[in-house]
Amino acid sequence: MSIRTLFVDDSPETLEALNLLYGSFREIAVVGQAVNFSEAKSFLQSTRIDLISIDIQMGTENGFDLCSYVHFHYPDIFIVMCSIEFNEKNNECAQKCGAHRFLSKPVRSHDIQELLDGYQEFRCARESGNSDDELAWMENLLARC
Amino acid sequence: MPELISRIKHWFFRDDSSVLATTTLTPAVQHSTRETDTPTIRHGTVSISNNRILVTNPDTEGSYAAIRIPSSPVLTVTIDGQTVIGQTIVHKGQDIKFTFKNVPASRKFSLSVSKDSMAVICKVQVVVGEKYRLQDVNNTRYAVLELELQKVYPDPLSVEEIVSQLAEVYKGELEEEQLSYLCGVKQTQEAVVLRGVPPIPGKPVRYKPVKLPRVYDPTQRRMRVCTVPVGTTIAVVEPGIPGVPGRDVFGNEILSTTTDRLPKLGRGVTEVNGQIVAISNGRLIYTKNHIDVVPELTVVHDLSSKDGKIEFDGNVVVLGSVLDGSSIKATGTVEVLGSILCSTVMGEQGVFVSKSIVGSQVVAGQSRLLYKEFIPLIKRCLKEFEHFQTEYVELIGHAEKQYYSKDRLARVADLLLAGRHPSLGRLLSALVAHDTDLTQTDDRLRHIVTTIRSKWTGIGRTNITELDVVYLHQILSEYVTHLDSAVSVETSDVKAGSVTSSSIRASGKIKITGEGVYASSMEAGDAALIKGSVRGGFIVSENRVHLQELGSPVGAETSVRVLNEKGKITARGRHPNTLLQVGSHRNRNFATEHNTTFRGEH
Repeated sequence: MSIRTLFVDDSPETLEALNLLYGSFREIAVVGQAVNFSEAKSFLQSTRIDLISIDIQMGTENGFDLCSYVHFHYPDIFIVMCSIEFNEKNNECAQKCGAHRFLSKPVRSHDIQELLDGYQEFRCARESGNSDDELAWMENLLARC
Repeated sequence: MPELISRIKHWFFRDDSSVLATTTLTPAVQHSTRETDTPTIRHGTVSISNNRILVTNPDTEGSYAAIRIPSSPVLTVTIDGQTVIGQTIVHKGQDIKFTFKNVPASRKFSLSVSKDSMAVICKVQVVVGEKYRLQDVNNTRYAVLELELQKVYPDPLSVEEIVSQLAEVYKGELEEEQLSYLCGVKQTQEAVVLRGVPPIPGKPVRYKPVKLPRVYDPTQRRMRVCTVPVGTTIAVVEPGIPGVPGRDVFGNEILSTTTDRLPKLGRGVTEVNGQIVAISNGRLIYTKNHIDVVPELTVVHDLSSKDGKIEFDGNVVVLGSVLDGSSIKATGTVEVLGSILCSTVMGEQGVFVSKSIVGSQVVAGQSRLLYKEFIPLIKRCLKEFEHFQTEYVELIGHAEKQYYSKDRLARVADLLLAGRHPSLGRLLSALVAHDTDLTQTDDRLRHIVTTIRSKWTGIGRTNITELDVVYLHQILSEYVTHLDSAVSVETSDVKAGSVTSSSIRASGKIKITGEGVYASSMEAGDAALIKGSVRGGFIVSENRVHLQELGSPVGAETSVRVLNEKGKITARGRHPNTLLQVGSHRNRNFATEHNTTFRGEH
């Protein structure tokens, strides 16, 4: 099943490049692009999204605000912060706001591949929910044989 | 009166020699015999000849001769057994002896061997002797002893002596001329006197190309070998000539080395009876590393989606443009004389576009790139499998103690995968789902995928034995070992005039010779060389990026990265809001810069 992806970035050239990069992966279907918070918000309300890539600096708007909004309202969406400003402070801030990955520009195919692995783990964790009982795992497993 | 005048004249103009004689001071050194004042007085004299002194005594009215003895470390003068220095008178009865500290001359030789044991060096050390003598003095009343130094050279060495010493230990060719010269040298010198026999290198095996007819290619504007039919002889094998071993000065044999560097033969040629023969029709490729005949597909018109998807085992040449919706995949090179528009083009050996690439995906060296992406996946899979195997062995041991039946034991792997190793399950699925191109060409991978599909996915997972677990681990680890060395070292390039809104990937270099790159993603395995400007998008390269102009005056966000810490990025002009990264060093600018060179070490 394709991973429905939305890009949010105020730079049209970056949107174009991200489109090309993500689009080269068969698992990903790019379904939309937004240049600011309000466009992204209205898109999310109308279209189901699996993965969202958000830029930090979007003119006067702050990408972390959108990240927090998506994390709160759409917890099933895998959030990726993608920015030219990559540093420890931004990384920490992104994690606090609920981002699952931070990609620094320029983005490579290898980064997208790792992102997809992270997305799969996120998806499985959401679906399974509970962690195993470490003490009785053998007995539990064998009891199910 | 005349007598008086003559007397006066005589008195005024008389000879003053007698006055001078009485007032002249006797000189300190007298080296010549002077006449005595009067013929009747005889003074004492001293003569020195051949280091022997002869003294004569004066008569009663004469004076004794004197000598001056210098203080010298090399001369000792004893008079009647007493060492004398300074001025002293001498007479006939004295026993005057001279003793000289002469330095004897000497000559000796030593032999040494060069580092490579191919030469014996003889060093002759010469010590020049010193022999002193007194300057001869002839019948003088006062003599100052003066020393004269004579250099004494040692006797020449005997050539036979050196040769006999050489023959005791060493073997080789004697340098007789050098030896004779050394025996007679007058100062310390060394020279090679014996040489080993150097090995004579052989001639390696080589392919000698056969002259094939050439025709003028208007697209490339040069003479090229036209396509060759099957059975054409491309080259002749010239056998090598073995070398002749040498010997060092100890007599040890030195083998002659001959390095055979033959070009690799491709799938389109084979060796038959000492000749390289084409086994398919196609274009001849003859380089120092590679000989092949590659089938060539020439499309004389513009290519469009109506022509269908082109997958060709060989080179593809499009004399027009590649238009919307087209797809080309070639195992050789793809050459497009026009542009590529909204299409997908993959050339294993390279992609060369005369004009523009717009809205397209272009890949050069796709197998190498795929393997590069695939290797981390298979390694991760193996690592996860090893964790799984450890727990599986523990669980099976526990189950066997409880006398579980074979059917129940066969389900253990499935439950363990689902319950505790879901990531391994996903990785195995990803392996199976990975690009089918690799499975078509890679037998080992195809076998692994078949094994996983049959035993480790679907209903087959409920019937996994211990042997199945061991077997999968074995084939995975063997494949990982094989992959590290198997991936081809040859890289492939992409060359184009300009790139717009496209994705370009190459395992080698990306060269853009025209206006530049706009809003695109480029990844190069070696270097990205852009003659024009780069506006927007991402450029990533392994070792180097060179471009003319980065970004735009209005601040289009553009980022460039070199992965190698020792790499560099050079740009003639850099506009604001651009990012450069080499290794882990990043730099973002907010003002225009010129002649930028950015390196990793800062």
